[in-house]
Amino acid sequence: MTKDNPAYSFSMQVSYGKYLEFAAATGFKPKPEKDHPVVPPTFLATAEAWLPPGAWPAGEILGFDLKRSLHGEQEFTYIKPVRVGDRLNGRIWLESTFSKAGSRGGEMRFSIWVTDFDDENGNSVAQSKMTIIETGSGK
Amino acid sequence: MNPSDSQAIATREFGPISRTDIVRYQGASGDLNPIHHDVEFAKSAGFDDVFVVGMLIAGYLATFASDLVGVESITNFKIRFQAQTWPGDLITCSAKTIMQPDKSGPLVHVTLELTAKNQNGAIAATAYADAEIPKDSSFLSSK
Repeated sequence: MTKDNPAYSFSMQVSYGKYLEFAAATGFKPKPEKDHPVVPPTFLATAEAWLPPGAWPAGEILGFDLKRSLHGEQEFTYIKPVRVGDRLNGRIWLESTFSKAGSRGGEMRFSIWVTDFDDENGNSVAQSKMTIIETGSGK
Repeated sequence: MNPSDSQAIATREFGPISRTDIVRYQGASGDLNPIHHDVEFAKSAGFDDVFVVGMLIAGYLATFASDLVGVESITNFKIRFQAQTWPGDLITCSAKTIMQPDKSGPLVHVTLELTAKNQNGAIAATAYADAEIPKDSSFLSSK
């Protein structure tokens, strides 16, 4: 899988309703809709809501067991601010995988998933990078 | 401010985190991994209870950072999850500035190091937020 052959492609509306819902969940003080406010730094996590229900590329593509998987790291980089009212096109792709011996036995598998977000003109707006770890089975 | 100026500049508490808080975040984000709200599923995975979705802690730290330097100014936010957080935990967020602001341009680059600890002092997550803030920002004048 590459950037040009993503696991999922989706189109995402940055709606004021989702902004309010996310703000309420994270203690963020929302601004009025007329200001086209900039979304909070982790708002692009809501991209998941635009995927088919139950979509989980680490399971579908790498066979990771959900019960043994952890979210290790997460990064969001903004080339320009994302605002309420924006429409973004996203692509999720697998950047890399590697393994380490687990401390409790078995093999720990690491996977790094990138989501690129473009505006409607195809310009890069933001990038998300997520590390998913499958812990060893010998616990 | 100088590079050795690394004491906490602010703290903020979130929680105690309820099961409702977890569900509200999961509904908002679209990450409906049952390990964070379905006790039977969590037990079948070897846990005693559901645990808090890490991205909720990320969201708290991001809110905290946004309130410090302004949401418009943050260009990068990166978090590493270090320990699980459980329902009922009280999270205390603290922030340090870890780079000397360069005041030569119209915008000043600041990196915040953000830590989320539970009520026992264990670190749940560490995050870094890069921000480009205007020279006249109240964040800088308060230093």
